[in-house]
Amino acid sequence: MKVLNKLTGISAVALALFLTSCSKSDDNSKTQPVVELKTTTVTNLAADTANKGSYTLYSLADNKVIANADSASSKWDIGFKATSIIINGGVSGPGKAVGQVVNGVFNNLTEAPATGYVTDSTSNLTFKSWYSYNATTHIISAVPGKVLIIKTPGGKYAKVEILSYYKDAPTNPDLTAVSRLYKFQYVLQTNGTAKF
Amino acid sequence: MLKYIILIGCLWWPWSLFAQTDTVADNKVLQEVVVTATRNEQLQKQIPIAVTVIKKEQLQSMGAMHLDQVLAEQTGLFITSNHGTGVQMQGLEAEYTLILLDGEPLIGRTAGTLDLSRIVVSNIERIEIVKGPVSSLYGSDAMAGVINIITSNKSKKGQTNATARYGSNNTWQLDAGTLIPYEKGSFSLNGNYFDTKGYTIGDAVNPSVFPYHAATGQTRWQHDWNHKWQTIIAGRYFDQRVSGYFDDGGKRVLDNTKESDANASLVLRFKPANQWTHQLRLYYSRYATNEKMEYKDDKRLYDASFFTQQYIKPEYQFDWVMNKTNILTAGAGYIHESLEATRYDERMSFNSGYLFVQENWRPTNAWNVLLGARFDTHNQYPSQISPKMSVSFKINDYLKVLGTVGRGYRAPDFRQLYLHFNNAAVGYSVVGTKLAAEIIRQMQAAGEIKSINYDLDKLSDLNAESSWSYNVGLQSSPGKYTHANVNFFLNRVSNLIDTRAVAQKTNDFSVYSYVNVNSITTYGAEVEINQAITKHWQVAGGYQYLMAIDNELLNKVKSDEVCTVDEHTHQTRVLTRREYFGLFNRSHHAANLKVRYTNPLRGLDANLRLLYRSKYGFVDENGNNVPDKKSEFALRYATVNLAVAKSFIDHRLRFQITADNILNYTDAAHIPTLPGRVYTAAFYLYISTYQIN
Repeated sequence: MKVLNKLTGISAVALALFLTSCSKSDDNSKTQPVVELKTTTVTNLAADTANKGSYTLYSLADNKVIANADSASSKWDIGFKATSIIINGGVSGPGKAVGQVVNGVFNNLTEAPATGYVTDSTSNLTFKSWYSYNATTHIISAVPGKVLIIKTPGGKYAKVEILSYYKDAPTNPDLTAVSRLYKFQYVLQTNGTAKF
Repeated sequence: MLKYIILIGCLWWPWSLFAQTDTVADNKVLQEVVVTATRNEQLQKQIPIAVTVIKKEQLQSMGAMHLDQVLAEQTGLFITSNHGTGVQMQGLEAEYTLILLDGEPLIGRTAGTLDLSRIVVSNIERIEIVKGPVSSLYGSDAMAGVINIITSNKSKKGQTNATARYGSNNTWQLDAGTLIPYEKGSFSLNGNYFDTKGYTIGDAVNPSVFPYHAATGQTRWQHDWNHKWQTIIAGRYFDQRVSGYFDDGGKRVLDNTKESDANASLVLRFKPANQWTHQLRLYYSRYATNEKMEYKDDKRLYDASFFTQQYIKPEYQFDWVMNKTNILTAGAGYIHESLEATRYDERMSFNSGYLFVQENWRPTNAWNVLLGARFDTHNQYPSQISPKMSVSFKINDYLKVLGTVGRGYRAPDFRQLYLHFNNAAVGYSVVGTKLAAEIIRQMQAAGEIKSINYDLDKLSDLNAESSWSYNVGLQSSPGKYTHANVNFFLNRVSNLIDTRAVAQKTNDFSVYSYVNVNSITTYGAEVEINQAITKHWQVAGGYQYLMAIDNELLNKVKSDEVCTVDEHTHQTRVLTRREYFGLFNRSHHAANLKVRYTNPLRGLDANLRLLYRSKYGFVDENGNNVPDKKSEFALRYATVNLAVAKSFIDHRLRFQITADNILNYTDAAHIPTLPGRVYTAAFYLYISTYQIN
């Protein structure tokens, strides 16, 4: 009974997440329709919270979770499982996505680099350097200034910044914080150029 | 939590105590004879190097039991804990300070730090501290400075003493010593036993300090065969047992550690004429630990490890007082060191030889110049030349300027050269630089290596860490009862040794080794003032400003490559130059204030010490390598320590009460070595027997 309640609880939370988690800050896009790109923030995206070993696959273009049944497709761009982040390319997927981590301030990064892209390999996930683990407190923190650049399976450039690994993104998470719930922001350039 | 005092007794060596306290701020301070800065006996006020002297009388007055307690109260020194309690000096960590016992190096730096809490204070005569490198005389490790613990007692008065002390945390100490001088020499024997139940800070699950007990014995025999020949034979033995535990998978594991430390030395001194002194010193030291972990229930072995280090050093030195203006000192020595330990393939040994020379030139009364250099040659890393020059100029009777430029170095340690450790549980490996190429090639042949990131043959070129250091200071005595010192320091350390992933294994974990990478700069200023208010009252204050910078990281900060998350907007932004706090574990400001009342007629001695340390970076949580988030800092704090003593029966009996950390400040997460308020009470008994003239 207890287990059932728990499961119901989790699925309710998950459902709520999918329905409400994506707040778009697209106020400017209507007034300046030409180049201004919108920054999308995703909150409390569950990344294998049940510890089943599966990735939560995400489409940046559609701003939604893609079912695992579609993992062998180009529908998704980026995937999350605990602290591991994959891109849809190399050993991780068929989408030929490439990416790299750039140091800098997310908002100030106006152009994706022309070179330096790699894809996921067994020994090296493209975005593995996004976090820092504190062996004393066991807290995972996003390293400030790590901007994840991805060229999606659709050939579009996007910049992604991970903001938190914990439920509701507390400023100073402690051991009671619920982990594997990502908060991140991204900008997707849909016109095919590398400019943000 | 606090256990109240019951006390018992201790006894010290009150002869020095009472000799010194007649006038509180005695100008005798500067009449002190010191040895550490020059390797020969010189008046403290004459040498061109600032030497801090902590006298026995101060140690007694504090009621300290271990060396770390004493050093924690000195201006510019910070106690740090990293596999042992060490001392940070001029912004350099504990492994860069050389610790000498009667002029010979203590060994047992299992992971860099030499644990100062294993040195008992009771039979220390005085402690000399020289800040800034003294590699020109002592070689490796003397980069931040040298702390020389001097136990030899030159008194011609026969004496016996006993001390008993009891305090909070069920801590007690028994100490006894005797000095038997005779016409041509003296013999001394000291013993100390320490036992504590340890402590737990706040409601932490596990104790910060587990119960342990330690015994120390020390003896010394000095004999002057005639006015030309003298021998000194000294020995010390220390043994400590710690009983700890931890839980793994719900099961309790007992963790018992034995630690022992033995030193023996023989000094042969020959003085054929007044201006010539030859010294032959033979020194042997052995340091060993043995740790055994077993399950509490079934006594099954969980893990066991050991570490045995041995050190043998013959050394020759001669001093030649050429004339009134020149003293020449030169010497040569040989060191054989060996290590056997878990995580090392076999017994490893080091050999090194060295030469040093020093010229002390006093062209006039006002000028004093010290020029020296040491050459160390080693079979495992490049030879080192460590020059040093110190100059002082006496402007007038009240003011003296001092300046020193010198090079210091720290040799790569056993770990960095020979460690061979495979973490089977996690999957990574760490290999010392001398073994790296061979081991990685073997792994490669076995198909365990995916990629190699470094030129393996270059790994074995690991060099010593080295520094150039600059000190400029002023010493002044504007009045009979006032002393003030200022010192500005700058240390540029390069070739710092750090771990790097040199290869990647097929299991995706790395093989780590050691390389020379970073450079750091530390600079700051230190001020000390000592003022006698009346015959009985004395006030002393000290302050240090410190900046310690990782040069490569600072360059990244300057080129806007380091980011932080803004506390208010929660947005990522560039970390500004102003916001770069500097290296972890360094406080920018530290201060102390000491007030002392002494009244020998009434046998009263009381002192209150206030110690302050500003906030410091503790841990990098978010991976940007700088302390920036609030939670990455340890908060500033202050501690207040008090000691009160009363003597009876012509100072033969002394009763003392101490209350350390009266404000009961604790910070379990950052400062596990600071228990809450601690009381002790002690009886000192002193018997003077006879006097040799």
